[in-house]
Amino acid sequence: MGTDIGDLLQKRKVEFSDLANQVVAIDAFNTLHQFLSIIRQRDGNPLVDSAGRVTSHLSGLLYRTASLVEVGIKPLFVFDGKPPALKSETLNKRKEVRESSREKWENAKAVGDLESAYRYAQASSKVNQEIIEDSKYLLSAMGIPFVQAPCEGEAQAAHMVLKKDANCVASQDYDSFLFGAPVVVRNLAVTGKRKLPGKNIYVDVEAEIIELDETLQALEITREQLIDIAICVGTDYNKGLEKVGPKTALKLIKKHGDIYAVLREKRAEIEAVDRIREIFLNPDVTDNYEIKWGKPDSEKLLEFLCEKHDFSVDRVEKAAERLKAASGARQKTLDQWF
Amino acid sequence: MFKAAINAELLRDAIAALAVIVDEVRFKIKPEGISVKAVDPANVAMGIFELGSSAFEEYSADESEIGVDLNKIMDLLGIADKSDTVRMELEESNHKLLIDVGGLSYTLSLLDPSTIRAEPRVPQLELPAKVVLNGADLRRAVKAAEKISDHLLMGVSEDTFYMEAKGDTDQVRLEMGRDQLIDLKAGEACSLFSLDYLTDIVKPTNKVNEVTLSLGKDFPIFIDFEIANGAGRISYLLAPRIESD
Repeated sequence: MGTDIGDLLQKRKVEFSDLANQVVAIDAFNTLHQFLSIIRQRDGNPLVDSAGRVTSHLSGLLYRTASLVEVGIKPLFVFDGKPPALKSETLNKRKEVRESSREKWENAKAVGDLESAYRYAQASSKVNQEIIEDSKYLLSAMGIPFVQAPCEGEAQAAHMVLKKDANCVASQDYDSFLFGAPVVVRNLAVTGKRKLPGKNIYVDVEAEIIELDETLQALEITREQLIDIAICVGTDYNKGLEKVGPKTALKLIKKHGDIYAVLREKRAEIEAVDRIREIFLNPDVTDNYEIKWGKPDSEKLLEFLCEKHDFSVDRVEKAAERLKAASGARQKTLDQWF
Repeated sequence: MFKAAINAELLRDAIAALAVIVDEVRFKIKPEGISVKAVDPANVAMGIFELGSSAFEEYSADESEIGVDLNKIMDLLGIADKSDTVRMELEESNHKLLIDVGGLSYTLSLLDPSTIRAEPRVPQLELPAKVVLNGADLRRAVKAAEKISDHLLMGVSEDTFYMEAKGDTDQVRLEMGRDQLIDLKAGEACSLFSLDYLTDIVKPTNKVNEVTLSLGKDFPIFIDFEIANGAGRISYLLAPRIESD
């Protein structure tokens, strides 16, 4: 997913508390996908209610968001709209991967190979319409705002940071930078002990912050050139050049200036390269949104999560308490009076 | 050059008032006295501290700046007797402060001031209301509030100053009219403050006759009072909590 340019970026560790009072525009799809693949039982099965409906995403949204809000972070979720036409190939491919993973998962479970079952189960998770609707309903009940993007959620989130309606984007993907996000936080929703995919090893995942300007300065390139590097490596909208990874791409773009010169030099072709650049440089975004944090509706939460989806009343009540405590008056800092 | 002698209790109270805000400070030493401006790490509270040369039994100094770990000073003053005299002398060449108290000679290693957060600017605020009250009254209201909540609302309504704390189920309110206050300048004021900070800030006011509060609506509060029998002064500036919109 997204573009594999992570190795080129300047990352810094960040503590949750450093993000206090900051408005964080969270890439909803990306985060829900993380919840669906991480929050699982040992055999790889996602959390489900008594009717067999998946609830991993609801669990993640409730407890994770409560932890963010608790330290004073002001989260808002940005949902994807209609994907650009150019993305269809990527989306089809993801679908294929999911379907074949589902088969392999079933097979692995049948033969009792739990480790593989877990891995394939993770790869088979999908954010479907019901999951999105449920997530939006839950966010409303929690008093957490969300924004519907016309197109790519990451583009909308980046736009909101550029408009100063948010301080940073939270996403695992690096595409946010290509859309111009000045600051991106990674691992926000997944900090803590995490199992490495495909291995029986657990690591501490820490949140990290990446600033676009810092990266561009360090690499001595422009944002446009970063986009061109991404196109060389491959994005959601195109396959990359043969045998070109991020480091080679950086060298190529720095040497030749832009993607067009690189293509000429390599006698290679990338379909619709103008349109791909355009998606990143002038993404389809909207100014029509409202961001407002409210108080959680405990009754709604209990009804939706406990009655409908069999969550523990005790735990939901505690999470509602945490959200409520944080939704009241917030401690200001002196900076704003200077 | 800095050489001074001061009563141990007086110095301890002054340092304690400052230690509420930060652990490490830059002391600005001048011929007319010592001053500190410091902000807590979370940027929520500021302390502005002045101790004039007349607070000292002996005092002579040129201009200099030293970095001090307040906890270390508090520790050694903790051992001193209230009536002891503390004698201090700066050894500029090796960044040490020599402190003699109660027959003990300490050599205190100073911190490099450049490693301590720089002095903040003090914001110019127009605060419409001013309340002067007895320090013990303020302390009492804060103590009562602590029992049921983690924040305290302070405001002025017509000729009444009020402090109010609301918990999940209970609330407590203290109202003081003009006759119970030392002075009151009425104005629209109502702000909420964290008791985490207030509790520490008002601790030293117990011994203080006059505490001046300057308040606004959803604005920081200034809490000023004299220390060292009028030879020094401390002002706290505390940012409010504001209901999220």
